[in-house]
Amino acid sequence: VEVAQVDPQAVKAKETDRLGSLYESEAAAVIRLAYVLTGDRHAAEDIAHDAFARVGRRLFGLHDREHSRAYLYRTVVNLCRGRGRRLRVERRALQKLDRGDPNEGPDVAAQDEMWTAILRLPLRQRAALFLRYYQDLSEAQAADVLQCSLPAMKSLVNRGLKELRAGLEGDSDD
Amino acid sequence: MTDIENRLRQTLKRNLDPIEASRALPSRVRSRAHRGRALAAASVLAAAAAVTAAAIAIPSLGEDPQGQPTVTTPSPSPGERLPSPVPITSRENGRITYSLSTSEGMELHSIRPDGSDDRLIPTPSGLPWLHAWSPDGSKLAVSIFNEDERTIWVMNADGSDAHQVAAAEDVSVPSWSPDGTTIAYSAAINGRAEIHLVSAEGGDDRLIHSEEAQGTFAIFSAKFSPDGTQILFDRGTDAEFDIFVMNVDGREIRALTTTGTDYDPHWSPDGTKIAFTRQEGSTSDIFVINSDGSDVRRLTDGGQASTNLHPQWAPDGTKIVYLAGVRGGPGGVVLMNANGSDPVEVVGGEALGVSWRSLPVSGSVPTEQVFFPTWEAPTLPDSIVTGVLFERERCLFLRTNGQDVLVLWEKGYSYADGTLLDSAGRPVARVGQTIHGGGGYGSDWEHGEQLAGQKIPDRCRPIGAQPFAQIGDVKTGPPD
Repeated sequence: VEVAQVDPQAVKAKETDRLGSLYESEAAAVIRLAYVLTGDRHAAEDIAHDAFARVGRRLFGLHDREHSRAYLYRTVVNLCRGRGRRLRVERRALQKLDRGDPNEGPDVAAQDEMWTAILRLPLRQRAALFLRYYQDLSEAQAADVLQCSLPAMKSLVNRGLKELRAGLEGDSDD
Repeated sequence: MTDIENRLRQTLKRNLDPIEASRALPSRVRSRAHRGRALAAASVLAAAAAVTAAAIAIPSLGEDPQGQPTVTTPSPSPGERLPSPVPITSRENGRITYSLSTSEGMELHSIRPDGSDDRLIPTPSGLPWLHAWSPDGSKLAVSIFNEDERTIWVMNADGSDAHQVAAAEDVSVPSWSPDGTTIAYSAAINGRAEIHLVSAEGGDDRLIHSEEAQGTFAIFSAKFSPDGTQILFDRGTDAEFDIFVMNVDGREIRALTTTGTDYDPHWSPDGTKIAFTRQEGSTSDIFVINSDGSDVRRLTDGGQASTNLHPQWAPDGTKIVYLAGVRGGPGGVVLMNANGSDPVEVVGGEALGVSWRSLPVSGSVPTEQVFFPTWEAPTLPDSIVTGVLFERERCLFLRTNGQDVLVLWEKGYSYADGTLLDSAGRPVARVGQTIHGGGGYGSDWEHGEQLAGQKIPDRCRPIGAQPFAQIGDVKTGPPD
């Protein structure tokens, strides 16, 4: 019986190249998405690294750059949801071992009324607004990332904008 | 474009554009990707071989044909001893232990339940994040986090005599068997989410449950039931997770919650309830559920931005302690009644792990559970009940093929026709039944000694003022 030969070292080298290339083109956007979703710079970077590590294990199944990017974004959103939030707490403390206190230094956005309102939005609304208004993805592309229908994507964006408006008006009333 | 859309664009641009990434793929990302790629590369080999040599059976490394993750329940090897079921033991509340996040890393502290008398407990190098006290309160098991590996250490209460018992990626909070001999933990090992039992002395590591861990799937923790017969665990992905229970041999997995939002389960000391964390959008709160999965009740309502998590019952079951964070960050340690009333912050700052030391009952008779103090030896070996010496006023004296045993009980249990029944009507002790013992009874022996000295309740005194130590001389029949 003939068995196809695959050199694991060659596979590893090739996939490392692909992961490195994907990182160069997408890392900043992925960190920015994680930052919008967490409001924490160090946590965002750590989640982004985690997302790349995970996508690195999946490059075999991701056929093109568009798929890989959507998978990366989706992974970041998932990492920032639920359990990921607790893991982020853990990582923040881990970072203290070699980076000092992540709470040190002023938060450049702390005084930004609009930014504060964005950070108050539910996570998927935040992700939808980031994809549409920062990444300029089409509604279809954003829906693919968040794995929802087009009407659901429209609804996420509309509700996000509505809540932002209401939040800003509420703040100005205070 | 509306005004709000314009402001949104400008705000996102202003806050996000300055964020840059390192130019090259960080080495830690590459190494973490490679850890998973060993599995992926093997999958490619398997797939390539399957194309040209379909007759060769190659184990599937992914999902089964039905799309379900493969679950493995290893069979115990011949002679392998799993923890034995034991009677549930009543305990008193000792000190609360918590992990404090500091600028240098993390420290392990302990306080009295009222928040006073804060003390530092020395721990091995790394972050002493998650911890659990042995049932008798004499030992502390700690999960130590380091960059690439987590380890579990067992040490004395003062931090002395620390020895490592487990090491793996994503090792969970340790959980003690009620007899104090075994520690359960979950971990990520070779691309699988696994639950292991390991001797508290180190060694004898046994796999009891293993399943595929694709993507972010993981088992987050594994906890012994108070009677040692079941393992409670939470598993899922970063986005969806639920609470399950299985027998201690890894069989008969049952889902206790199905909302996709529940984690951090912790048994009540009497085994009837489970406290857990439920994720609700961007917040989380503490809930409680019956141990059969019924009757979910909310205990905290932290409101917007709250991150209440990691509930731990007090050893006497009257209170629950938990971590109250904000926006996913660490927060204080809060103590509340078991029904959720009267929450009080006992530790401020950035606490990240919490556990509650249990102590043997010292000043009063247990009110709810059965226990087996002995007066012949500091430990009770497995023994078979050969006769009932007498029963009176919720005191049961049993003769076994080893030594005589006194059983006390109060609420929930009942006695009829020579058989002691638990609250579910299951026989706890009767002639012919094996009573499972173990080293964990050492603490009960202390209690037994106290009983022998002066704490034996009057109702249980068999013969007038006869010293308790002579009870073993009683052969048959009720005393006068």
